[in-house]
Parts: sequence; structure tokens; C-alpha cells
Amino acid sequence: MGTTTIKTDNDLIKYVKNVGESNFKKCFQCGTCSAVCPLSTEDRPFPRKEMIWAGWGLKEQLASDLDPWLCYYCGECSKNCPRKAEPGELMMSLRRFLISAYDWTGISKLLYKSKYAEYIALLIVAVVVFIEWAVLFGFSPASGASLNQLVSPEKIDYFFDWPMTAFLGVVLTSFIYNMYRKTVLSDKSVKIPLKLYFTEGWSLIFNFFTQYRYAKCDDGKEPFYKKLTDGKYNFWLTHLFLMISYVALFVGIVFFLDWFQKENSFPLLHIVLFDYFASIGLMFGTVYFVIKRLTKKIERSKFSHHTDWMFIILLFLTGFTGIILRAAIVYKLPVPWMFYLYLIHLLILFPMLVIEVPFSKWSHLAYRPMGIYFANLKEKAKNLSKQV
Amino acid sequence: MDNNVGVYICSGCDIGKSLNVERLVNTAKDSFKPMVCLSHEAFCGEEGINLIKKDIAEKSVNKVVIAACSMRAKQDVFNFDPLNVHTERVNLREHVIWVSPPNDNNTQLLAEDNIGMGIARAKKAEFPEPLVQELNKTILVIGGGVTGLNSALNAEKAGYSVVLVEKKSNLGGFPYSKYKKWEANPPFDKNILIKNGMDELISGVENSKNIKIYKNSKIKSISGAPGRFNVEIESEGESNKIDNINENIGAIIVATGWKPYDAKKLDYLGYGLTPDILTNVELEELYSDLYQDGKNENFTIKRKSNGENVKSVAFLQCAGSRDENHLPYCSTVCCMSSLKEAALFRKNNPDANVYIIYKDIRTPGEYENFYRKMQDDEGLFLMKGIISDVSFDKGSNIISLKVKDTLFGGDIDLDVDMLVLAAGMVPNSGDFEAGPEVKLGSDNDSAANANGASCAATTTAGLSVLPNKSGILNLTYRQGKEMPDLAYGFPDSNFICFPYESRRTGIYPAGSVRAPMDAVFSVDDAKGAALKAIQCMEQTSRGRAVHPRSNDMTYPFFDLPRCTQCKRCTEECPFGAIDEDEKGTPKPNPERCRRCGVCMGACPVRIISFKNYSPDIIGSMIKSLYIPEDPTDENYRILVFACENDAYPALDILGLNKINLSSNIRVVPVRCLGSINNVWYADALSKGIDGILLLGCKFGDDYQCHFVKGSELASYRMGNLKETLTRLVLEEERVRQIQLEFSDYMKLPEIVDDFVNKIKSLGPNPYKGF
Ligand code: SF4
Ligand code: SF4
Ligand code: SF4
Ligand code: SF4
Repeated sequence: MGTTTIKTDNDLIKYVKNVGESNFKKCFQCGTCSAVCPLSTEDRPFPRKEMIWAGWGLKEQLASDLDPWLCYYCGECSKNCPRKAEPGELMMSLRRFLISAYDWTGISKLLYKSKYAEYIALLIVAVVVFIEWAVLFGFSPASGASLNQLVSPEKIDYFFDWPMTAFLGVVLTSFIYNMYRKTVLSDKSVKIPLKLYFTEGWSLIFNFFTQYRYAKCDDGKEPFYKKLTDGKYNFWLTHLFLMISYVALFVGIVFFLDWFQKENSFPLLHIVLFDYFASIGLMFGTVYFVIKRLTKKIERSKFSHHTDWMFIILLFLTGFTGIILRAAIVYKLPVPWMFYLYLIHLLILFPMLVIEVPFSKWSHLAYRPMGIYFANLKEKAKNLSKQV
Repeated sequence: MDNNVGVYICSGCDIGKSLNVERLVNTAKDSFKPMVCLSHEAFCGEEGINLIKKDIAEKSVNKVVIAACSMRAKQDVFNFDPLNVHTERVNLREHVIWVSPPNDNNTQLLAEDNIGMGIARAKKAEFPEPLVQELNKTILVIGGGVTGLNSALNAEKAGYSVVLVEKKSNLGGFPYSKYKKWEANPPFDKNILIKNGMDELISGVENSKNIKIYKNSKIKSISGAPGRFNVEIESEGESNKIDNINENIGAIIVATGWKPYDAKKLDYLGYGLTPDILTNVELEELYSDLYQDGKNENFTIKRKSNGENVKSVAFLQCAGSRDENHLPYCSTVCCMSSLKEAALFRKNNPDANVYIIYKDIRTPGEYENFYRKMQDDEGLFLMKGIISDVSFDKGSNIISLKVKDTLFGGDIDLDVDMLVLAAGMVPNSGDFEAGPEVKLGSDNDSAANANGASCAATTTAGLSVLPNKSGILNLTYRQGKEMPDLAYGFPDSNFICFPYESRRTGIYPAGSVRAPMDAVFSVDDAKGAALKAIQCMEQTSRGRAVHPRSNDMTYPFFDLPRCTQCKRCTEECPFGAIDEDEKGTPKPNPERCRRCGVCMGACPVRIISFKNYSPDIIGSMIKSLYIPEDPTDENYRILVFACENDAYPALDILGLNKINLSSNIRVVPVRCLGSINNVWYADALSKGIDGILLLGCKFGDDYQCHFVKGSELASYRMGNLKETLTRLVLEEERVRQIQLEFSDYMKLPEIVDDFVNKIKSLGPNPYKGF
């Protein structure tokens, strides 16, 4: 085992304390948390190790740590911690810290520190959208025109969706590169053979689309179906449902906006996938999580940061306005209604995507699978070098 | 002396249902011809007890043998005037009917033997003649620190006069020079200045008319015994004139406190590398100085080396403590004091990071709350680990620590401005090797130690006149000048059973000289010791023993003309009660005696005896036993010497639980296994006893022997006995000693069966019937 050089970063301790409700200073390193954690392993004794790193303000260690991305906040650790130090919540705080650490712009840090900063950021984007809308479409829909004539999908694509997608793509990629640099490149002890990047690629995709590690949160010995009927997988499945709905809609809207604004081109796929499956997923998922956060019955919903609330509320509102808009189209409501509904929808959707995806909670959509991917790479590389 | 024996056999508590009481009465009458022999269905009832009282009054019965329950039961009922009536309790209930099958011949024989032994003993026993005397009842308190002051005040409050001897020129002791103490109550933030807290206590003592104070003084010698100690005090008056004063003292409280472990021995932790590496005590003194400089609590702590503000400090816990090469024990105060000092650091240097490296944090009870509160401090970093290296770089003026076995999963490197070694606690008990520390050892003031080199000269100068062992008490006792240690130089007695006891009757160590403890505990300790001192003086003047044979009015009688001056008694007395003249003849001090009988067991010519306990008395009990000659299983006879303190009660509890025990055994209660005289083995074996089992307390490091050394001595003496047995062509396995705790009573049937079976496998005693 290596030697750790202690460089205490007092600001870091304050920051981590600030962005969550873990009492990590209370930890006396008994190791119970790591022992009960269904995901922690001998080589990666999280969250105990993170508890002491956070307590001692060891920024270098924490910033290069991938383990927070391996934790799904099942809360077993928090439940069993004799000191009520909330190790699970620390892992959550650390994910927030990591999001701000990967973000070289410093915006995330601001958003996590202050809810007002978050409000202002969202507002700025909303104002930009508003102005764009005013310039492109004005505020007095001509009577008799169809929605497509008033708000052309092409213009939405060219002036809204695609620039935003490009922006998200570039920013997120640079953040992910930053993450890669901090967590993989900085670690001089492992060299990852190029081949591994490809052979491990499947795990990236697999994890992205199944979030299978969630299922491991319960390490009880019962068979799968028993756990399923006992509701042990509810959280995972709801999360998965929500995520797939969201991704489906995102991809659909960004690349096939036409489908949504006109009535139908592939009616069956359209109705089943978007109108039913994804809409239900979005509504059900968000409401489910809101209820969990309000009732605070399970560990992972006990504490809510302002960014959690903002994220889930915006997501709900986006979905809600989107569905109403879609319903208006399907049920042929008066066009001016649709025109304004459209505007409202965008005023919520864009701030959410532009702010939340790269700079706040939503970035976990990218970081989590990447984290697992990188962790896998490192582990495999280590095993390979051991065999040599 | 008349021997008017009355035997009273109770048939209550089912005794009558399990034994043939009538037969018992007849056998007793036939074999022992007592003056009276009766049975009754409840001698402890009014009618029963009146029968006995009537016999005492009308027939002058003066030896009452009550064959009923255990001697530990109904003591309030069978409490005849001990000076005129000898009461012998024969245990038919707990030791016979509750552990043996009812209406069985072997049970009956057991009961008969027990009654026989009781009558034999009663016949021989004499009445105690207690040593009642007018004695001095002044308490001497040595040491004017927290414990000493509190002891003095408590003793004074109880109405006793006190002589207080303090080494230094001021009262207050060790903590007086320290800055703050911690609060013992949540929320632990009202740290008050120690000086302010102590001044009140000091003035209380100084203003008391019943406390005579000698400052700048030490004890030159102590001789005598409780109630008649003669104490020579060497007092340094003005212009260094030494006065010798004699005081007559009743009992003594030793409250000489502690001193920090010699920091020079902590050089392996970097002590001496730079002035920024200091001990916890030195840090306290630094706080004090800084406070005194500005008379302001808001001072900033600066580095001793260059006067810059301290930005990071590490505390190293257990510096020297819990370490086989230094102090093997936990010094108990350093965890709390480091936390307290860390809190002060955080308050006064808010930008400083404070690291505490510990083996364990030991903050029991309420103190845990303080630890928890401190844990929350963002600038405090606690880490379990073992320091492996301390180095100092002159150029950068940085102290570098290497810590191994940490919970970071490896070693850590840590750079700090200041390093505080939480050095441990060494008792000022005056019992350690000569060396430059000797003077310090007798010195309550740690400043001399802490200031290191500058003080060394005076220290060495003082040394030349000091004896090899430093003199705190300077007893004139045959067994040495100071208190014997229990462990690590602490003159404790038995930590399990009797915390305030000591092995020098009438001399009670209290506070941190007794065991490592903090000021809060020392206050309680002081009260305990004061009560012990008072109890000792009062009991002694009434001619009664103190713990553990409280109220015993007998004491050993030495038939000196027959003494061979073998010195065994003077050497083996666990309490150092017996002095010696030049020729080696023992000079007993009954006031110092605890009535264990160890001297009696030691004496090869059997000249030591108690009025109701002697080689002859127990010998005749053994001789009274009926030994059947027919070698059948039930006729094996095992003699059990059971220590009255633990083993006998354990047998009682076994009875209470109605668990059967072999009926082959005959139990003789003894004051202590150490009181067993080897002649009893001879008595028993020549009588035809097949095996002898000794049941007594644990000995060794965590002994439970109530007389400290008794059970150990018994086992040691058995070594000699075994040679004798071999010479007599008897198997040495016929004698066995078992160490037993009171709570081990469930093991008794197995222990006894095991031994009985062993004896059976050896076959009967070949001397049977000779
Ligand atoms: S269980 Fe709690 S106290 Fe124990 S190591 Fe984990 S966080 Fe620390
Ligand atoms: S929340 Fe669950 S997965 Fe995360 S560290 Fe705790 S026990 Fe492990
Ligand atoms: S009190 Fe703490 S620092 Fe002192 S010896 Fe005990 S464990 Fe070590
Ligand atoms: S009875 Fe015990 S304490 Fe008394 S003198 Fe004998 S050995 Fe010492």
C-alpha cells in the first residue's frame, strides 16, 4: 500500500459539508459501512475510505476517486453506521463535488453552492429562449395557420435543438475528458492497453441502458422474481423506465421533431413509444421520486439538495407541458393555444437541458456509466499487469 | 476456662426431612459428651433462640455449636456476646442437605462429621481478648494536590484533625500551574482556569483550624502502626533552616500524585529535535505563560522556535503509554487533555489544523460526549495510527511525521509546525530506580522535568544525598520503606475487590498515585481514602480488624520463647505487619495485622496462633473425623480446605442452587489458604484422609486473594510438601490446589468429582488405620 501525503484542503471540507447532509466528521473508521455495502469490494473499500478522505480534506484523492459513481445510494451503510455519520449521503455529496470538479468552468460549483445561482442561471437561459422565440416567431400567431406554419420544426431544429445539442455535446465531452484525465490518466500506477477501451465498451453501453448495478444494491439471497415481487427492484425499474423514456424522447425530439409536430408518420411506433410508453415513464417516474423525497422513508430519499428538487420538478414540468402540447396537437385544439403552450414548454425544457445536464444533477447520466467504464478499465488493466 | 458445650441441631429448612436428626443428637451425645445437646425445628425462631439463650444464662453454656445453616446466614440472630460465648456454626443446610441426596447414609455421615468438627473446634477455641486502646486519631495527608486537599477537607469535615505535608512552597499540586481544566459535564465548553477553581479549595484547607500544614516539607520516617504512628517531618523553614518535627498520627493518606513520563525517553518520537516538539504538559505551561503575558484568554499560540503563529499541530497520543518498553498501561488523562488542548488551539488559532494520531481514543462515560463534539470540528483531524518516524528539517523548520498502520490503508506523511507528545502518567510512589529522575520523582512540580536541561544541574546535585529508592514514606518497616506495588509502580491493592485498600494497614494511597486517574476521579478517591483512614483508626482503637476480616477481634499470638528466628513470618506477612529485632525475632504489630493467618501457616514450629484459629484447633477438627476403613467408593475421604472469602461462599451458592456434590468431601473453612500450616497435611494423611483439596482465590497478576499473597504462598509451600509426600511414598497428586472465583461455583461439582476420581484411581491412603 502506498503512502498518502496529507495535504488538508479546508475549503474542500466546507464544500462537501455544504452540498449534502453527511456528518462525515463523525466517522471513527470502524468500517461497518464498507462491510455492509453490497457494492463495495476489498480493493475498493468505499464508503469508509471516502469518509476519511473527506474528513481530512484530501482533495487529490477525492477528485481522482471513481467510487462515488459505483455507489447507488442503497443506504445500507447509513442505516448501519454506529455513528450516524451518513456515509451514503457522503457518497452523494461527493458525486456533487465530482460534478463540480470535472466542470472546468466553475459553473457547477456555483450552482451547488447556492440555489439562487441556480435560479438565476435557469432564468438567463429562459430569457435567451424567450428572445429567440420573439425574434423567430413573434407573439401574435396568425389566425388560420397550422402549428407547423407558425413554428416550423426546421427553425426549432436550427435555432434551438441542434445548437443546444451541439453545446451539450461539446461541454459534456470536455468534462468527461477532464474526468478521464483526473481519474485515469493521473493514476500513474495503471497503464490501460488501448484494446481494453474497445473490449470494455460493451459494459459502458450495457450499464447505460440497464443500470444493472442498481439490482446489486440488494444482496439478499432470494431469487430474482422474489425480489421483484417484494418490490426490491421498484426503485431501479422506475429509474430505468424514467431514463429510457427520457432518452427516447430526447433523441426523438432532437432528430425527428417532425413526428411530434405533425400528427403522424409512423403512427404505431409513435403512439406506442412516445405517446404512451415515454409519457407515462416520465410522469410516473418523476411523481414517484417526488413522493419518495417527500416521505423520506428510504435512505436514498432522506436528504434532498436543492439541485435534486430543481431537477425533478423541471423534468416533471417539461414532460407535463410536452404531453399537453402533444395532446393539443392530437386532439386538434385551437392553434393559438398550441402556440403558447409550445413557448412555455421550451421555456422550461431549455433551461433544464442547458443548465442541468452539464452543470448539475443530470450530468450523472454521462458520468455514472463513464465512471463504471473507467473503473472497469482500471481494474482489468491492473489484473492484466498482475498476470504478466 | 470452662468448656460448657451446647450443641443445637436444627431440623428446620428440611434438615429434619433429609437427615435423621435424632440419630445426630445421639451420636453427638455419645461421642462428644456435650453439656447440652438439643434439636429444634427452628433455632433461628424466637422459641429456638430462647432455648439457647436460656442455656447460656442458666447452664453457663459458653461454647454454642449451632448445626443449622451456613455461617454466612442468620448472623444477626446467632449473635451472642463474642467475648463470653464462642459461637460455632456447623453448616448442615448449604453444605450437606442441599448438595447431597436426602436420607442417605453418606449424607448422614457427612452431617455427623461436620458436627464433630464443629464441636472439636468449639472445645479448643478460646474467647478473643481484643486489644482496646486509646489511640491517636489524627490523619496525615502527604501531598497537597487535588487529592490531598480534598482528603484533608473531607477528614476535617468528619471531625478529625489533619496534618498536611506538602513538598512545595504552595498548595495545589500538579495542576496548579496548568492552564485550563475540562468540564466534566456537557456541553464541556465552560473550561475554567484551574487556578481559580483550586484557590477556593486551597483557602478552605488553609483556613481550617483543624488542618496543620507543613509546606516545603517531606517525610523523614514513619514508624509504628495505625493509631500510634510516629512521623518525623523534615520541614524547610525560612532561610533554608531545616526543622525536624515529630507528629503522632492515627492513619495516613498518601496523595503524592503523578509526574509526567520523562520526556527525554521520548526521543524516539522526536523529543529534543526542536522546541516545537513538546509534551502535553509543556504545552499547558506554554498556554499558561501566554495567558499570563497578556492576562487575556485570546492569545495566539506561536511557535517556540521562531515566534510565528502555529498553523498546524499534531498531537501524538499514548506517547510512551501502552508501550511495553515504556509505560505498559493507559495513563487515562491524555486523551481528554489532548482533546481539550486541541479545542483551545482551534479557538485561539482558528486557522490552524489540529491532527490527533491515536492508538485508541479513550474517553469513557460522559467524556465521550466531548469527543463527539470535538469530532465535528472541521479543523480537527483524528486518525488511528502508529507513528513510525519523526524528523525535523532545520531549513524549512518543518516537522515531518510518518505514520503507519493508518486507516488510509497505508502509511501517511504529515508535515506540521508543532508536535505535542501526550506523555503518560508515572506515580509519585517513590518506588523506582535511581537516576537523575529520582529527585523529580519525589517532586510534585513537573516544571523541573519539563524545562529539561536547565534543571538537570539542580536535579543531579540533589541526587547525591538521596538513597537508592526515593523516599516518599520512609517507613521503618521490616519489609521496606515504601508501599509495595501492585503493578507498574502503582501501590494499588486489589483493583477488583477493594479499590481503596492497600498492603500497609492504615496507609491509604489515593488519587493518581494509586492508579492513573484524572482530577474528577481523584476527588472521589480522596473521599474514599479519608473514610478508609477514619475507619481504620476507629476499628483499631476498638481492637477490631479492618477489611477484609472487619470486626475480627482476635489477632495472632506469638509464643516467642519457642521461636527459631527463621523469619518466615516476617517475610511472608502480606501486610508487612511484623517487624524484627536484630536477632530476627518477630516484633508483631497487631494494629497493622489483618488477621489472615499467613504467619501462622508459615511458622514451622507452630508458635503462632489465634484464640479461635490455630494449628492445634484445626488439627483436632481433622482428628475428629470418622474414617471408615473399608475401601469402598463411598468411604473415600477428601479433606477440603476452603477459603472463607470466596470458595466457602461458592459452596454455599452451589447449595442454594441445589446442585449435588460428592459426599466424600469434608470441608474445613480457613481464613486464607495462606494460613494452612503444613502440619495439617500430616494430621490429615496420618488420620487416613485419602486426598486433600485446596479451594482458594486466584493468584498472579490479577490476583483475587483477599490477603494478596495467601493463595500464592499456599501453592508455593505445597512445593515443599510434595517432596515430603514423595518421601513418605505417597503420590503427590493426593494434594491439589484449585484457583476458584466466587462466580465459578458451577464448576465445583466437576472440580470435586475430578479430584475424587483421581484419588480413587490412586487407591486409598495406605496409612489408613495405622
Ligand atoms: S460505519 Fe460510519 S463510523 Fe463506521 S467507518 Fe463507516 S461511516 Fe465511519
Ligand atoms: S449507499 Fe449503498 S452502495 Fe453506496 S456506499 Fe452506501 S452501502 Fe454502498
Ligand atoms: S488516555 Fe489515551 S492517550 Fe493516554 S494512554 Fe490512554 S489511550 Fe493513550
Ligand atoms: S495474621 Fe496476617 S497480617 Fe497478621 S501478622 Fe500474620 S501474616 Fe501478617
